[in-house]
Amino acid sequence: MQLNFFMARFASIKIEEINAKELVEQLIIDGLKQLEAFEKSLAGTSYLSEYKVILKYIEYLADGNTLPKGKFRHLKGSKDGIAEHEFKSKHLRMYAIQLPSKKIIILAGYKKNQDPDIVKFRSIKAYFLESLKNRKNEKK
Amino acid sequence: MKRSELISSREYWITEIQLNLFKLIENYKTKYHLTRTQIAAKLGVTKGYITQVLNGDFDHKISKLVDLSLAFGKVPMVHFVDLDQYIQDDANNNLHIYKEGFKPIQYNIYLNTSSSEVLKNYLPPSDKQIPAPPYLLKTEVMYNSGN
Repeated sequence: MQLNFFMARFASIKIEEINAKELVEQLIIDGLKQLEAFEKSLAGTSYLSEYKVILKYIEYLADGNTLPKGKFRHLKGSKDGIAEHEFKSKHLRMYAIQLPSKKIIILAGYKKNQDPDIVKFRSIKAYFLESLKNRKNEKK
Repeated sequence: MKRSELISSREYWITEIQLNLFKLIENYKTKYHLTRTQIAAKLGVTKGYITQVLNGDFDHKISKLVDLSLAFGKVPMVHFVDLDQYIQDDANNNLHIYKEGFKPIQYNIYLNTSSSEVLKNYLPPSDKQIPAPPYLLKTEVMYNSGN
C-alpha cells in the first residue's frame, strides 16, 4: 500500500453524480480521480449497488440532513482540526474531509480494509492539506 | 457514472425513501423526547422494528409505510414524475420544486416598448421599472421552496 504521497500532485473536482446544497468534490492524485477509479474497480460486481447508495448518503448529508448512525460517523482522533467523515454501506466505506465550504472525498474502499484504509486516508489527507498550504504560500 | 444514471437507479430512490422515513421518526423522537422503546409502544411494534427504521434500513410493505406515516401525524404523499423531466430539472437546478413546502409564484412578462426588451416582473409594475405602456406578453408560474 502506498503511504508516501510526498511527491504526489493533488487537485479536487466536483463529483458530478452529486447535486446538493453543499459542494462535494473528489480528490485527484497525480491526475487520477479517486472516486471514479474506485467506481471502475467495482464494475460488474454487486458492490456497484452499494456504491450508488453511498453517493445518495453523501448527497443527503450535503443537503443539510442528518444520516442514521449506522450509515455515517465522524472519525475520532483528527489531529489537525479538520473533521473527518466515514460513509458506510454493508461492504463499502468512503472517507471524506470537511472544509469550510465543501466536502472532499479522499478515499473509498472496503469495510474489510477499514483500519489500514483509515491510516491511508489520514496520510493522504495530511499531504493534501500540506499541498493546499503550499499553494496559498506560492500565491503570496 | 453520470448523474442521470444515478437518478435512474432503484438504489437512489429506495435510499431516498428510507432516509426520509428515518428523518420523520428521528424528528418526532427528538421533538417529544421519546426513546425507541416508547415509540415502539406507541406504534404497537417491536423496538427492533423501530431500530431498523432509524438505521435507514426500512424495506417493508407499503401498508407499513402508511401505518408509520399516519402514526406520526403525516400523510405519505406519493406522486410520479416523468424521469426525463426530473433529470432535466435536476440539471437545471430546479429540484426544489419537488421538495416539501414549495410555493408557486405567478409572475408577468412584459415587453419594454422603448428597447424591445422582454422584462420579467415579479411585482406589480411600477413606472420606474417598466416604461408605460408595457405590453403584457404572458403570465407564467415559477416555483420556489418557500424558504
